[in-house]
Amino acid sequence: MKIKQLLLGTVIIGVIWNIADFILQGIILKSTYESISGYVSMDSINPVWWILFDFIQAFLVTWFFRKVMSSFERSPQGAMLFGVFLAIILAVPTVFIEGITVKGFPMWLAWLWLVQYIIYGAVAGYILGMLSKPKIATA
Amino acid sequence: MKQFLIATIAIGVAANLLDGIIHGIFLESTYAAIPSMGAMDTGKAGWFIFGDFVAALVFTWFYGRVHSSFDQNPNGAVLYGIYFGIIVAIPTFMFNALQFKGFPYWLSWVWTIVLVVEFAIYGAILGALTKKKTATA
Repeated sequence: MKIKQLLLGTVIIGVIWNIADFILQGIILKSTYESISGYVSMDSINPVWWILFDFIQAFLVTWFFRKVMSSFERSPQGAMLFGVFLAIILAVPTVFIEGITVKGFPMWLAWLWLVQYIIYGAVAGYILGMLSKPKIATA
Repeated sequence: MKQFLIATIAIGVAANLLDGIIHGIFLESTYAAIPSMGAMDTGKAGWFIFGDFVAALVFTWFYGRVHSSFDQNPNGAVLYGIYFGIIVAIPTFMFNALQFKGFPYWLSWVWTIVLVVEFAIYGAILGALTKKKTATA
C-alpha cells in the first residue's frame, strides 16, 4: 500500500465514518448522551472535533493496516477480517471501562458501541482491501 | 494454546500491577476531583482487574494473528505493543477530555503516554515468551 493509498483510504473511511457518526451519534443517540450525567452537553462540543477525530482514527487504521496487511489474505474479505479484529482490539479495552467509570453511563451503550465498532471496522477493512487489491488484471 | 494462556495471565498480572500503581495510587486524587468519574470510588475494583485480563487476552490473541508482520524477536513484539497502544489511545482519550465533565486535557496525554508505555512493556513480555518458545523448539 503506497502513500497515495494511505491518503485515499484515510479520506474515504473518514468521510464514511463522519456520515455514519452524524446519523448515529449526532441524531439517534443524542438524547442518550444528554441523559448521561458524567457527559457535557453534546451541543457544547465544537463539531469540528468530531470530524477531525474520525479522520485521525481513519488515518491510524489505514496506517496500521499497512503494517500488518501481510498477515491477512490479500482481498477485500481478508482486509474486512482485519477491520473486525481491529474493532475488537479498539473497543474492548476502552468502551467497557468507560461504562464502569462514567457516572450515569448505561452498560447497554457499551455493547452498542462494540457492535458499532465492528460494523465500522468491517466497512473500513473492506475499503482498504479494495484499495490494496493486487492489480492482476493490469499485469 | 498453553503459550497463549501463559502470556494472557502474565500480561494481565503486569497490567493490574501497573494500573494499580498508576491509576489507583498516583492518579487517585486527580480522579476524585473529576465530577464525571465519581463511579470510580464505588467498589468496582473487581471490574478493573477483570478488564485488564480481558485487554491482555485481546492483546495476546491479536499478536498471534499479526506476529508474522513484525520481526520475530522481542523488539518486534515491543513495536507491536507500541502500535497497539497508539491505535487504542488516539484519538479516544483526546475525545474523553471534551466529553467528560471536568476532565483535564493534560490527563488525556498522560493516559496516552501511559498506555503506549504499558503496551510496549506487554509487548516485551510477549516477545520474551515467544523467544523462550523458539529457544526450546
